[in-house]
Amino acid sequence: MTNKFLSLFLLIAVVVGVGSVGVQDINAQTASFPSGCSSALGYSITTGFPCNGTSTATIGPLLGCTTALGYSVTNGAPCSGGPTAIFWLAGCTSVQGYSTIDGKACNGTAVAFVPPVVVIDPGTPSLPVTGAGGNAFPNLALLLVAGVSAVLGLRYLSRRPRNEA
Amino acid sequence: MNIIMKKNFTFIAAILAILVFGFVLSRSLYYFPSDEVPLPPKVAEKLVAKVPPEIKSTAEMRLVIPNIDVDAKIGEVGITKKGNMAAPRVFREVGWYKYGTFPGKIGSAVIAGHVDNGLALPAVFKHLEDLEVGDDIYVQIEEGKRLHFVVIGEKVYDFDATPESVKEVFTERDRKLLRLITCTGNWLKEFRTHDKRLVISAVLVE
Repeated sequence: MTNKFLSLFLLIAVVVGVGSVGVQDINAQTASFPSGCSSALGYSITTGFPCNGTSTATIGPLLGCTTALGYSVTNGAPCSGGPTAIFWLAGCTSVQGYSTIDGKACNGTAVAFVPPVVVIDPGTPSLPVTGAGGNAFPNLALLLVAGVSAVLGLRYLSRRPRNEA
Repeated sequence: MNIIMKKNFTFIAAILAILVFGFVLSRSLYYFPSDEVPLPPKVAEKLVAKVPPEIKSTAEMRLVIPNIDVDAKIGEVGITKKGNMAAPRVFREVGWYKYGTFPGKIGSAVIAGHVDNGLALPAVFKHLEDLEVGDDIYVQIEEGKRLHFVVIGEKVYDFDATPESVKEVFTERDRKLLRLITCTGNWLKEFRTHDKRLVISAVLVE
């Protein structure tokens, strides 16, 4: 009985735990910031007001953070400077490239991560197939059959209007 | 009802027979399916840029070889899904490998042409094997602009030679070379192609 309770408790704990992490992620990724801000750090590039919505801007990175992404390793607070953590900046869909809002690197650092363009060079091809003479016999046979059929067909078509009249 | 159906069937059969005849005739005498496949856009745009900027259009390009009576339009060909250089779609035309060197530039410009058509009648490169060292080859790039090449040698490769073993055909870059390729040897029924490829090499005469 005790074991059953323990199992049930653990199951609920796991479900709640996973659920809360998921909710946190969703909150984090849907966090919104003032116009011209990709996080709550610094100032809006359009209005010049602090991005955290107060009269004093928070200048990052925060303690225990290297970027505006994720949580502080020191105190567990969101590195975004806002109430929720973000895992890529607003205006980004991943950590690659630049924010469409303020042009900052989406990975939160000074330098954007841009995946290398993979170029598949066709390299040296094999030599081409440049002749069809060996197919002459089957082609001739097919041509003959199709030709006879076509002649019959033409004959039928030329006589058709007369028959119908 | 049956008579109407029979008449309609005969009518459709007659039309089909004419279409089939036309298709087989054009496939045998004129058109060759090249099986060319497009490259990914990013790759293609990088490679197709091999046409020099001063060339406005490649539509006027022609290959002229007086000694074997060749005067053919040069089309552009790429790569097939099997990784072969594609062949020209028309038996009387030749195809320049558009991902390689442009004729007259340093490197190997490669042009392929058919030896015969689907009825074993001569195609554009039927007499390519008759070329000898010292023979003239002209590539008309644009109206009034002709490049003069002179044959310097020939080499025969197996039809299934690996890309590595034919690399020299496409990548030799110490001179302004022109390579003409066609089929030669015996017909391999199993593979529906000839068992050898003839490659004529020519160099630009400045």
